[in-house]
Amino acid sequence: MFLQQLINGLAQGSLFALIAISFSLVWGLLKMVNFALGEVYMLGAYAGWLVVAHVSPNLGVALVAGFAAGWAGGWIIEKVAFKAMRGVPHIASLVCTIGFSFFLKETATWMFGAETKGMPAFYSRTACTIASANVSWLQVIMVAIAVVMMVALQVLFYRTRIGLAVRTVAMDYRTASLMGMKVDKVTSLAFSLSGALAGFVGVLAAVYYNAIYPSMGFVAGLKGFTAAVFGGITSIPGAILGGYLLGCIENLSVQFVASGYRDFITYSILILFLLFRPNGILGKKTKL
Amino acid sequence: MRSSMIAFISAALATGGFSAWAAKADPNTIHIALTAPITGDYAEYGTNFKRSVEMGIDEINAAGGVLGKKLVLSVGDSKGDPKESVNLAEKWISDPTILAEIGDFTSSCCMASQPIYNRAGMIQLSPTASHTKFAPGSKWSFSIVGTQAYEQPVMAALATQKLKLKTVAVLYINNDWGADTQKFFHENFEKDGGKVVATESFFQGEKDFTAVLTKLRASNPDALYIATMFNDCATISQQREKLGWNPKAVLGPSSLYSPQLIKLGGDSVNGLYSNVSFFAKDPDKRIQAYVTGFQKLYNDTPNFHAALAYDSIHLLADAIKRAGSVDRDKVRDALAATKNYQGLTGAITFTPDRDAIKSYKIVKVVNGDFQLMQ
Amino acid sequence: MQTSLAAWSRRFRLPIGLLVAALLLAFPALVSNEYLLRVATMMAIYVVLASSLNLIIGFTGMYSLGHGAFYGIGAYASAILAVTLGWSFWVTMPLAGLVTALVGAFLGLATLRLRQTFLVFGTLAFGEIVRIVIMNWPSLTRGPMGIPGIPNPTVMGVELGSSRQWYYLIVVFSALMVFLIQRLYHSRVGRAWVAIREDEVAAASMGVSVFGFKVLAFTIACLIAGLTGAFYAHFVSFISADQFGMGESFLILTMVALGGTGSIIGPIIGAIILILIPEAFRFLAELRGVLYGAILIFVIVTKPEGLAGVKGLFMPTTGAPRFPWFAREARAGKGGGAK
Repeated sequence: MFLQQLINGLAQGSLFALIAISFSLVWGLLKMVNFALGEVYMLGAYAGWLVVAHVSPNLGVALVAGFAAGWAGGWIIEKVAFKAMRGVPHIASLVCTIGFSFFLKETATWMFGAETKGMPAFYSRTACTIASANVSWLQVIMVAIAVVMMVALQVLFYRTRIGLAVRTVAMDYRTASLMGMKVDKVTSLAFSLSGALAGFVGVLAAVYYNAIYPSMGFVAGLKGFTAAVFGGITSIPGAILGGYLLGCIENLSVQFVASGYRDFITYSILILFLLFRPNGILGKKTKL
Repeated sequence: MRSSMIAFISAALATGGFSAWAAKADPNTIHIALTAPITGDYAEYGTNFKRSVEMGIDEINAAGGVLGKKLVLSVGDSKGDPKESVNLAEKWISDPTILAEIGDFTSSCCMASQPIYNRAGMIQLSPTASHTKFAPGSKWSFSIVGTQAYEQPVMAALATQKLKLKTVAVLYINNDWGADTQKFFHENFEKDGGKVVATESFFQGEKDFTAVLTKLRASNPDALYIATMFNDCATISQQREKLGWNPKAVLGPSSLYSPQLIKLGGDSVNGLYSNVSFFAKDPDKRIQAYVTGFQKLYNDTPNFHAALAYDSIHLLADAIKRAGSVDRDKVRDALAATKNYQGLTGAITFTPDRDAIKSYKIVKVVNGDFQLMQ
Repeated sequence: MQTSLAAWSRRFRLPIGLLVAALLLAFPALVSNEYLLRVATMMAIYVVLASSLNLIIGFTGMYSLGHGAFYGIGAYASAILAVTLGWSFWVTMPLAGLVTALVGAFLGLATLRLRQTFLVFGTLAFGEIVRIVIMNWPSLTRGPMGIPGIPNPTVMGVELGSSRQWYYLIVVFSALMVFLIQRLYHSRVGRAWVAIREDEVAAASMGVSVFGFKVLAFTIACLIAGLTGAFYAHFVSFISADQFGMGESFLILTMVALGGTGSIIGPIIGAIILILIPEAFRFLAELRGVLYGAILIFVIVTKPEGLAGVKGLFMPTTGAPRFPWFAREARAGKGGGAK
């Protein structure tokens, strides 16, 4: 069943990769981490669920809702945890986002209840069979959507003026601001985009696992961060590589090791890489 | 020291607020406590507990109460968390007006709080704890649902004799109940000549089963046995369908019998086999009275577990009547001596270990509805 | 922090201390409600936990999100030894502390060189790993079933099981631990810690082994957390792995952040406030988690060092005004004044 687990891994890896990109975006810009990204992902999932339940059972609409909810979340977090904390050591911002993470999770529990909600079964039929491994339409669509999103981001960053602005600020924050660039607006944009991406992935994940619950953000965020560190948090290709690799490793480990230890392997990868190779696989081997 | 002042004032406020919470000892009432997962993963079950017990108490009080006294209920939300169940147990035993406790829902919660009820000498009557080690653990613990030791032979017989399955893969939730259930199914299935070719487990809260299902599928079993609650089973079934895996049969224990399984699982749970000792469409007059009464009050059809909770409160009232007193020891003895009490879920006679032995019927999900199989 | 309030309280330290001690001792006599006694007991437990985390955060400036896991290791160690081997609490409790301290030392040695952001994730991942190991090792820990029936301690044949006895036991333990921390703070070790916190580079150049003292702080904090875990396990008689996860770590962190990092009284205040709020205002009980999150956000943004904290940790790194959109000068062209 190696092939099947590999396919599962690629599908799941798409989710990890997109979350990892979210982390990379903020890190690349400010060398800071938004601890609450997992919860923004969860917000997006709930937004998608609300839309599907009350407005229209259309996957596309749900994805847009998740994107929008995530954008709003990212924007608010930037304003409170980063902009209002300019000049205070970075660790305070991180702790503030830790507060946001908990706040969002508990708010969702209070508003929606802790029970798992489900999504209607989109595209669950089998698409094709490759040598006794099943690929469902959903998996195909997920990977496709993820790839489209990644290409879109590439276009955004390398073919548009806004993308150029983001890359410039990422390269050298101080110089950019001295040159008169609206660094605040760029930062806000990057955070919002990072959140929007997370919210978008949240809807995808909600459909894939057919489970929406308040604590879904914690594990997703931590694993997304692991994927980013694993592949290289300083670059988007690194995040993508880390995401897919982690997805495959996780699913293959279930096959060959006890399933209860799946997360153990992921978190061990995180700790090992933080200790010995914080720049990740694709990063330069310098002290971070 | 302003901060200390704030602390002390707050403490004083809390103290004042709490003295009002002191137990109200009304000698004309009998105080019963209910512990159930009103919120959380098992909210569906807990809410039904509360509804059934409240319905039962209203009926009993309307008929004059027990020994001339009205029944009064205190409800505690354990959230399906053994730690909360323990907290609630501590709360109940510190209230001298409480005669007995009904609950909890999961075997884990019941077994976690058992030492406390045992220490304090309070009846712990669980409608649904089916773990073989629960009731024997303390002379104050009772369970009326029937243990897995008696339920699983029925499923095993179904698998080998009726469905002629030779190999089965087992997926179970890794908690006290799940481990116990799959153990008995495994033993009985192999005793009947079958073979369990793969066994996997997952922890409560897990939502991603694709990897584990793939692994089970690799062992090529005739059937899949899912030992878990209905909410997980619905998710598992949907993911199984997404993987395109359609084994000859899917089976599970009585925990799956609930209209919610079908609501959450949709098409993916069609064809699933389970067993029950209570069926809502049973034409028996008392069962129909309960079902219609429940539907009128709560706009919802009661499931197996709701019926068990209903039986619990009536059984408890009956035991108090037989004891002729509200003394905890006397009621306990009367409860333990219960013989052939006709509950909605079958006749209840407690074994020396305070378990009940029930009989089971097979049900199957056909076209989005549970049907009795002959 | 030489305000007149602080000076005043230092002068009257002894009478205030005696008053506090008297109130603590008399509390069970004034309040007979069992539930309230248990709340007070848990408050004492959290006072110690917050104070021990403060050793890591407030004294060395490292943020750890894994403290709940160490609390859990202590609880499990004592529970396992007591339940499977039948050893007395008075043996299992110190052993639990020792085991936790060893694990803490090991983790500290491995991870305290990481920069702050990564240390947070490292300790978080560690906490999750501890939880996973506990769940997947049923022969040792009964896996997800948890450990029920953890026995009460006995003193000379008398079992200490009532809420009142537990209250006294734990309050005495808490007071002892806080006293210990206070003595450490005013010792050479404490001065080394403060030096590290204020300026690592200067401290190193003065010959202070920065890394060594950081590991020491971490180890002692874990020792205390482990001991506390043992008390907790025997107090509640049932423990399971999910009680010691991220939620617990977050709660303890918020207590330190709210009450004040770096001071002795800070974590005590934080623990008291955060335990009291849902109890004093029952209608808020449902919103408890929401409130905790909101409190942490609010405190960090408005007063990062906490209510009674020491300003050293969060000195603004630039002269730029904190809320630029209020300051006209900041709006004229320049971007934010980040370092």
